Amino acid sequence: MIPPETSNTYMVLGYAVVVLILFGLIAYFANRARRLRADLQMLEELERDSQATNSQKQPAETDQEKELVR
Amino acid sequence: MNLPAYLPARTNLLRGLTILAVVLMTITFAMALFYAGTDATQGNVQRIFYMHVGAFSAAATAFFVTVVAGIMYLITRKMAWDRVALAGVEVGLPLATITLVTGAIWARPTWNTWWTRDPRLDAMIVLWAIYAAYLTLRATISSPEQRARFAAVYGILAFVSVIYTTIVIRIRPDTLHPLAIAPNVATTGVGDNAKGEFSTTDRRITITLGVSSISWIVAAITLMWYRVRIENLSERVQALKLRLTANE
Repeated sequence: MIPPETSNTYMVLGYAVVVLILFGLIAYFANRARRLRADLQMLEELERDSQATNSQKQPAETDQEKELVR
Repeated sequence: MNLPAYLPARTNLLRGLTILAVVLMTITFAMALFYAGTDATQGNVQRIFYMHVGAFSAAATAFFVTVVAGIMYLITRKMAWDRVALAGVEVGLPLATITLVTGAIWARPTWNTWWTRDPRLDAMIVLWAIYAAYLTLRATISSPEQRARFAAVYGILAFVSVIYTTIVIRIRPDTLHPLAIAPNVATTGVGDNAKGEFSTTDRRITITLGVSSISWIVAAITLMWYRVRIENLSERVQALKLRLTANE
């Protein structure tokens, strides 16, 4: 027969490990998702900026072409 | 690149599954700690059983998902299946770790040792190492198609270790590991050497074990789903980075 104090201590230790690993895994997933979302947002903004810059450049190039034709 | 677009119904389903998993896990903890009776010989440490077995059931389910996804990848060659296979191992491995560590903690007061040479324990540590090697294998192959192909075959073959770990206590009479769900120990002779056995005749034990296994499996499926979504997000980030680099 295992003494009750010993039994209780190991039970608490076992459950603590379960909670620690489960929450660790959830926290890892949550943190990774958060960082990826932030990266995605930043990259989408960069893409929008570069598209806006390209569309602004476009008429200038057309004017230049017109001048060359003239 | 074929990037996933999530339907609101699918997101709502995942939310529902998350709530279900949280509720079931809460019920499992409550039942294991307060509903299931205290073992007369082992005391409260026997309550580790519900987490130890539940986590293994969930890990085995996750590894089985890797097998199915691996087969589907080899048939369809769709990268989405590779992402599902990876999710199976990334969720299954921590769950197998829970099984190993809780087993060692339970063994200390019942077997008077944290770890010993035993067919079940050896099989379990080999299983853990095999799936840890799966992640290492993936990290060493740079070509996505080649990586997916190798990982699919490896994931299918690795499942042999799960089957062996599950049945080893039924085929090796020299194991110390008790058979919680045994057909007829007295007539088969299997489990004669087992130490730390406890009575499973109490209905509360079987009900708690059933609820625990279902809860852990639901939690594993939920975690795998989130893991697949993270991988999809990662693919989107990589695709966008490549597009921006190409535009520069």
